[in-house]
Amino acid sequence: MSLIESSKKDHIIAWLAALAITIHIIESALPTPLPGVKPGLANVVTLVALLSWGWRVAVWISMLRVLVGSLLIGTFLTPTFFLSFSGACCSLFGLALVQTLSRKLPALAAGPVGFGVVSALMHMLGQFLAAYWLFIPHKALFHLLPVLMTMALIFGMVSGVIAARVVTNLNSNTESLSKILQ
Amino acid sequence: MLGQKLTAGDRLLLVLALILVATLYVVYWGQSIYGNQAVIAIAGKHWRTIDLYEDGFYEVKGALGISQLEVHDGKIRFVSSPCDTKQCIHTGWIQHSGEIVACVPNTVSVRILGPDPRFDTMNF
Repeated sequence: MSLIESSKKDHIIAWLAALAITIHIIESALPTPLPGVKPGLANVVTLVALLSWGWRVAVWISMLRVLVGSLLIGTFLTPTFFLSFSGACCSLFGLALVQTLSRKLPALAAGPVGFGVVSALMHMLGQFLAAYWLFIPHKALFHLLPVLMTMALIFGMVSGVIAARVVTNLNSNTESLSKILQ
Repeated sequence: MLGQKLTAGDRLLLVLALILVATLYVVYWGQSIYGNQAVIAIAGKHWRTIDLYEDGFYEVKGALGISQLEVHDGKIRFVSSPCDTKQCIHTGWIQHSGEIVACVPNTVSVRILGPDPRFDTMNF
């Protein structure tokens, strides 16, 4: 027995956070056509966590990704970090909202694609507003918003579709997964 | 593949997201505000401020002679000018706040007034 008891959920969080951080770092090395535009594939992990284990696990993974990811890249407490952090917070807020609404209105419950789109749009919006308030308080910045949101919409759909595939495969491999996590 | 996986909620969210993005394009990339007044200047000096919703013709005496301006339905244009290039006439109607049309040889310029000009400066 170790001194610190770790639950099965802790292991899931650790595994998924590690995966998210890895994708986050690989993505940060990709060149981007526009500042602030990234495929956001690390968000797939957050979506999978939300769909399979709930919102709290998703929050843990998202926050660990932003924190550890920035520490490893060397952007901790730089503008990049704050943009990433506000994006993640807004995204998680959006996911919580959609999940609550989905529970209240089961007929209109969102699936992976819905969650993915909301998450990506909210992430972009949070990041954008943080950039506007903290770093570039100029009205002209808003002319970028339509393009940024279009990209977010596309990437949100893509990550939603990927998350749906991952969740399906996870469900059919639940036994092997719980073995890994023990 | 995608069609079968979409729930009713997904479709609703996608429609809402599309409306949001489309609205953003209209709001931030749409036409700028129409002006309702124009300032006419001769040799850089203010001559008259005119209302763009009072249709009519104005004759402005510049360095070379008389330039004729037409105001119609919130727009203004040069109708004739005693210059060689007729650049001012070819510019056509202007109506958005901040837009400028000028007959440089005749030193007559027209600028649309507005609360939020689309351009600070222009050069050709």
